[in-house]
Amino acid sequence: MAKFRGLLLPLLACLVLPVASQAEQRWLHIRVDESGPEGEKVRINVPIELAEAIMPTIESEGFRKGIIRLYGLSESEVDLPKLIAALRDARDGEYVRVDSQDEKVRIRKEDGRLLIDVDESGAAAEKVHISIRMEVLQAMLTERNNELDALAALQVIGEEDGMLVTVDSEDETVRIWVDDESGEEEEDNR
Amino acid sequence: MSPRERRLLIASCAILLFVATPIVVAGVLIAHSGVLVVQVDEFGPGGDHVRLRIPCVLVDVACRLAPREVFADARLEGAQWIPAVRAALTQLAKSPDCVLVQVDSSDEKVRIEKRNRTLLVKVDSLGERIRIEMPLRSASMVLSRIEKAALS
Repeated sequence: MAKFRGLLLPLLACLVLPVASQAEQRWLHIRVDESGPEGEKVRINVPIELAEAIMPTIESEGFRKGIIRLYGLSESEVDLPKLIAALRDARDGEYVRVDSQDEKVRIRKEDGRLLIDVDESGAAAEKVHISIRMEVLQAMLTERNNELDALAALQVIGEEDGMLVTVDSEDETVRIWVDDESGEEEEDNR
Repeated sequence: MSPRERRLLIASCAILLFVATPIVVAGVLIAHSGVLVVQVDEFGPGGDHVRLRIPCVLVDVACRLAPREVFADARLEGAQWIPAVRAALTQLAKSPDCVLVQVDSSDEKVRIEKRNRTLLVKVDSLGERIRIEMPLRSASMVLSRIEKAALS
């Protein structure tokens, strides 16, 4: 019996571990639906781990080893760590409100998230909603003031389910979110 | 059964085994390593039709036999993308089956998915139909050869 148990346990581990590791997989989803009968539909489902592995290997102008270089910003112009620390420690509330004929902009902090809403008016009006957890902003900070750590941000984004970006306009709708679904079910239902 | 019939039966079985074993082994090897599939169908008069089904065992062998310069050239041309492709292949091998990219427009449908340790690329456009099935193991093998060519 002891020998049988000795064999059974590794066998069970072999069966369970792959399932467990798949269950822990986090996915970044991007959906773009252009309106109209000829509108383009784009579906991108990327395991966060895959994005994390690829990101440091990509090198282009302004992007190296997962770091975004903000060329338009000199190190002395804005103190990003202080700005983000101030945001993090601030109470929930509305910080920016712009009401013009063309658009309404709201930037507020709510339940540990920075929420940005842009509501355009007019013929080609667009509604944009961006939701960023404060931890993500914090993770983006680097030692340099004019650089943002996209890789660290991605790692933090992947920790929690949620909608990150929604864009609704006459022309298209965009959704970017994170969850633990591969997107297979949705594709199968199509 | 007479002794003669028994000897005949044993001899027949031995011959069958001798013939069947390599076929079974080859079948298992091909099934295990997968098949690289490339299909291109251009529509319209004079359109090309390409059909390639290459067992990955042969891809592996070809990788070993091909001159090093072939891979060195590829290394030079795609140097900046090789680390990204390597990282992608490693992670894809660990990922569950999924549709990675799907683009549907009025004139083109593109689908890139991972299915059974194979990367599938399907493109259906007005002018052509493309199907590529690339077992991840083979892609990794080719990439390893390119990386080694750079080192040597």
